[in-house]
Amino acid sequence: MLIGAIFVYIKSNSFVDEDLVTISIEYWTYLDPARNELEAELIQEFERKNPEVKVNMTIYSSAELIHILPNALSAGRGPDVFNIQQDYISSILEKGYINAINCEALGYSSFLEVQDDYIEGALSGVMKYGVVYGIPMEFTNWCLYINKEKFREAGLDPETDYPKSWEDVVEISEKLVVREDGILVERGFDFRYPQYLTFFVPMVQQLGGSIYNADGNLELTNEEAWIKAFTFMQEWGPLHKNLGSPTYINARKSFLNDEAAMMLSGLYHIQWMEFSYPELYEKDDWMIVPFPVFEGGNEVAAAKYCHYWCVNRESSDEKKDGAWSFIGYLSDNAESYLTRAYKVSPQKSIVENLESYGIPYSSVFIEELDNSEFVYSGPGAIEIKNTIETLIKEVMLLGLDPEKAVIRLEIAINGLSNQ
Amino acid sequence: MVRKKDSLPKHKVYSIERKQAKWGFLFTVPCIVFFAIFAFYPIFYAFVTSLTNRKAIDRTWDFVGFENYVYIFTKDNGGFALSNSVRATLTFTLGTFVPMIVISLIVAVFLMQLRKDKQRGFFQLAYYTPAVLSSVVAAAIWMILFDPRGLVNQFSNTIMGTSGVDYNWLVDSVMLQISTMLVYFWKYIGYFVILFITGLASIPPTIYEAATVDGASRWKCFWRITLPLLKPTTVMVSIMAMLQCLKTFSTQYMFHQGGAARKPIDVITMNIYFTGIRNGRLGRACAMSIVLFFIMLGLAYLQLATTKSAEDVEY
Repeated sequence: MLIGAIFVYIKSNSFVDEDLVTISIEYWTYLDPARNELEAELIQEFERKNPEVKVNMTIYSSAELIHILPNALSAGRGPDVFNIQQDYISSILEKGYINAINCEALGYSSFLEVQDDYIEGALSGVMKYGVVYGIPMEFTNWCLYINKEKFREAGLDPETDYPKSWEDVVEISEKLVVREDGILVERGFDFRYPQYLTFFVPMVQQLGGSIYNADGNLELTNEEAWIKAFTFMQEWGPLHKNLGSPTYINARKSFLNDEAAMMLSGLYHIQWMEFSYPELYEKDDWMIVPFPVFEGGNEVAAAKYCHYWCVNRESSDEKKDGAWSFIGYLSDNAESYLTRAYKVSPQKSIVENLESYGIPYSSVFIEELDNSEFVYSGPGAIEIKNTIETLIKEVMLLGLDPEKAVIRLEIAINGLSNQ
Repeated sequence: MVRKKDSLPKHKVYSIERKQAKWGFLFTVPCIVFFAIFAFYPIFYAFVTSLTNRKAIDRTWDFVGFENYVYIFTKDNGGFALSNSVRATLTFTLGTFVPMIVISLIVAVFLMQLRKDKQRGFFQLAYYTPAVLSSVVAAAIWMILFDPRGLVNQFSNTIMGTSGVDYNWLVDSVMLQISTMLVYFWKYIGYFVILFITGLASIPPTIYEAATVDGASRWKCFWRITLPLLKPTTVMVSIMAMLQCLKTFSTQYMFHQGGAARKPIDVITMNIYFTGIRNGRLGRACAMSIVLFFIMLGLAYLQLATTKSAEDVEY
């Protein structure tokens, strides 16, 4: 009976006349409930308007997708369309597994028109030798979410005492943490540990260091800045001040569970709060402030990053055209992505009018854009990210000397640079 | 009438043993085919791949001879040398399988002493339940328990007579290794208890009765009857446990994903995963898996060789 009901449901929700379908497109994407729901509707509308095309959407967890996709593409079994985070795109781009954009199928008359539609740098993550290989679905930058009630409980005024620098973050966190019998049970703030290119590299940039030199080539610059940043992380960790640790429950989850007063995330997190934790959202006792900067450091905000829609180069020409036209249809609905899934498309028309959509604190995110660089997604991006992850864990958890960590990172970056 | 040997008809004569062997072979054919496809071929293919510079994302590769083997034995593989993985694997194996064999044997003997079948059945089920859980779920449960606020830390404080001490179960390199051992021990002890119970049940009770009549104590019975007659089971269980420990992966991987440092628990299988899947160096990863294969083969052979007389047990 249940199977029958499911069958009826599927049939009633299918708008595809199988006889008319000549092109079947496989679309792989990552789990993101509000967006997935919107895309399921958009697919139905697209199929209704293009009865010869059928789109099959497969949803993976984001962690799964980044591993499955490159292997599937290299094995010649990749999907026709997929979307993937910027820092994971360089390897598949280098190997030539993705197709250059088809302006006509996307609904543009020329490449200049595409370029003109997006904010500066939005296409750089999928550009190789001046050719663009994908269309950005969304871009994200991070700011600091604050639970105001927690501040007041610690005797702080959130409106004036919120942290502006990383030194403030330490000082305020020491007041916000709750320890029972010496055991940390609530945190003031904690980092988003696996995303080191998005928050840690900008912290180093605030101190004057970088992973690339003035010519844009891979090189670890300003060792002192790196040592200072690693030392900061070490002192933050469980072997020193014990204000946070990669081994604790992730701060975003803890923030929503009322167990952390601050965390870093993008605009989309407002909707997560609304969906998953309506009590906290409706209490309206939270605020969003800019990414902290080291005292006397450069004004560098958390890195921004895009998710791109790309097309498999090995799909048939018919499928490729259908795929680009599908991507064109999705990107035409950027407004729905914003209002229904809080996904900010880097289209100028969206970014420039973001505040007019009435999304709280969107102005904070917009203001941060000026100080934010796109996350490094060039050759070796994943290797650098993995190396920094290893070193930060060893510095914070095993007490590795920050100077030794910097030497190891330098060796790794030099190795990648030579390759 | 006696027939001359020469006058026997010239057709093949099969003994009963040969006939049985023929049928025996036929019955093992599906198994041989299965192993050939799912074990021997992958091993052979892994060896061939280990001689190439194959990368996950590339479609072409070249033969590089034993370059990958030279690399994994001489270079630090981006901070995660094979030598460290061998150390981590052997530490984990020794720290897990020795206590697991000893304690599962003790538990099995105690369970066999229970007179009521219902009681025995209940404890067998209770011990075996964790083995049914997926390793990933088990690791996720234990990560919550190892949290500074979790039960394990509270229990540690109670045992040590301390208050508010964070024993850093997922941070300190020694504690981290112990925590992976504990998860594995908890998960698999029931499985080996059941195997020992099966072995114990096959020992004829008449032997114990005869010994008791002769005045042997329970302690003596255990050392002089149970342990020697259980030798085949012990050998089988210890080899299985050792091989399983050498192949451990999911607990360490989940702990690392949960934020723990990789180095202390970077067992060979995890290094293979990171080298092959994360870093895409399939050639190097295959070389590591061949090394692991030979380590497992060598240790299993050593164990069999040192307990050779085990097969002779008869009752």
